[in-house]
Amino acid sequence: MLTDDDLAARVRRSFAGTLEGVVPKPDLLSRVRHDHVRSVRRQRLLVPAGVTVLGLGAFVAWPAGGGRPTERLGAAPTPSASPSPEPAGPTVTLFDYHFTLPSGFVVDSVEQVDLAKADPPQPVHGESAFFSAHKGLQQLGVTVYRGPIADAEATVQIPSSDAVRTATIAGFPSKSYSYAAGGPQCLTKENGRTLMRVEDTGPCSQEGSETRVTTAPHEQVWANAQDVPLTEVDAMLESGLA
Amino acid sequence: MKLDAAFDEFVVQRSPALLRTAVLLANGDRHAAEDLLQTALLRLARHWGKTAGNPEPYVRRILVNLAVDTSRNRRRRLPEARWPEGLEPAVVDALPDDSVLEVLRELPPQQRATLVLRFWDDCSVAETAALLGCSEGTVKSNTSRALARLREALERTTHADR
Repeated sequence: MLTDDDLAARVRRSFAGTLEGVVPKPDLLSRVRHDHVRSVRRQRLLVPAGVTVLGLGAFVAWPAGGGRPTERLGAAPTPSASPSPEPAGPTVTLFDYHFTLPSGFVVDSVEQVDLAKADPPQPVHGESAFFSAHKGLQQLGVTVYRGPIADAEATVQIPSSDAVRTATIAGFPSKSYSYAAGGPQCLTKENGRTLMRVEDTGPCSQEGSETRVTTAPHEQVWANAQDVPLTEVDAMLESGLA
Repeated sequence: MKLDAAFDEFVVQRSPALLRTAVLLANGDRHAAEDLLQTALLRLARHWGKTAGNPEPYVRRILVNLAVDTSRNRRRRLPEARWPEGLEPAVVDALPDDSVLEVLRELPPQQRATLVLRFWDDCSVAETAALLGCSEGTVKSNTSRALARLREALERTTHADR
């Protein structure tokens, strides 16, 4: 019988073997600096007006005047001085669904994949389109599956240990469950030092969530969120699938 | 945020260790690991003013979250090819004794990240929990489940060799 210590030693040895000769490329720092300058410049350009970015069979639009919000790190929600509601976030189109993200989210990627043409070849065909977005360190993504891949995904079991919420979203049956991954994703300042916020000490939620909506016999829409309230995910799906 | 010399120094000094962690989180894929590290450092650059006092936990956390998220997205985008019927048991039984990485590759992203942090970065249970943003109990159960899968695979290999 292998003990945990034996196994841990084997894991360490295997890890060490994997890492032989791994060193960063010499231009890493200059690439990071270059990308940072471009990102700051792009952010300045996007702020003043409504902007549309074309993607692969899908697009993202920022509402005019909304701009890209400044990311805030480690900050607890502070009461707004103005009672007016926050502007909606960008709208992302996946196939013929238009998802309007909660306020402040920035879209990182939008992609559409035809699995019949995927490299390497896939055992299941069909199409999927997805986006991922973040707001500070919160993360949100939606994937729409169509065809055989949707049927295959529909058979994936939800972990039995998790509490599953069954609900109707935009008239379609849905299942949601939470898992203890990702976590609070926020930082806190103590005595001038930036520290990871410890569980139960802050306003950040502790969990990620997955919501699966069956929108048609061969179509599934899945939303994954880290540190985003389920009510915001539901609202985005509700309007996007309506 | 304007980057200062301290940022450059941090990147130069810490990127070798961070890249090694990234390679393990990315299942040995060096290109993916370089992308992960570059993205994590870019996010660090964006928030340098707020994290300059102690940037390491921040960038590590970004790295772990990116790796777990990327792995989940990849599974979603390109579902893992299944072995042709009848082949899987033979492949698993033929697992060489030292091919622990093969088993680690099959682990769910968070379990793999837990092992990398615990057994490579030598993080304590509490530190791992803080980096993954979960409870210490989750870290313990993830470690236990991952090691149980490893034990099962290795013991199966041992039996097959006899």
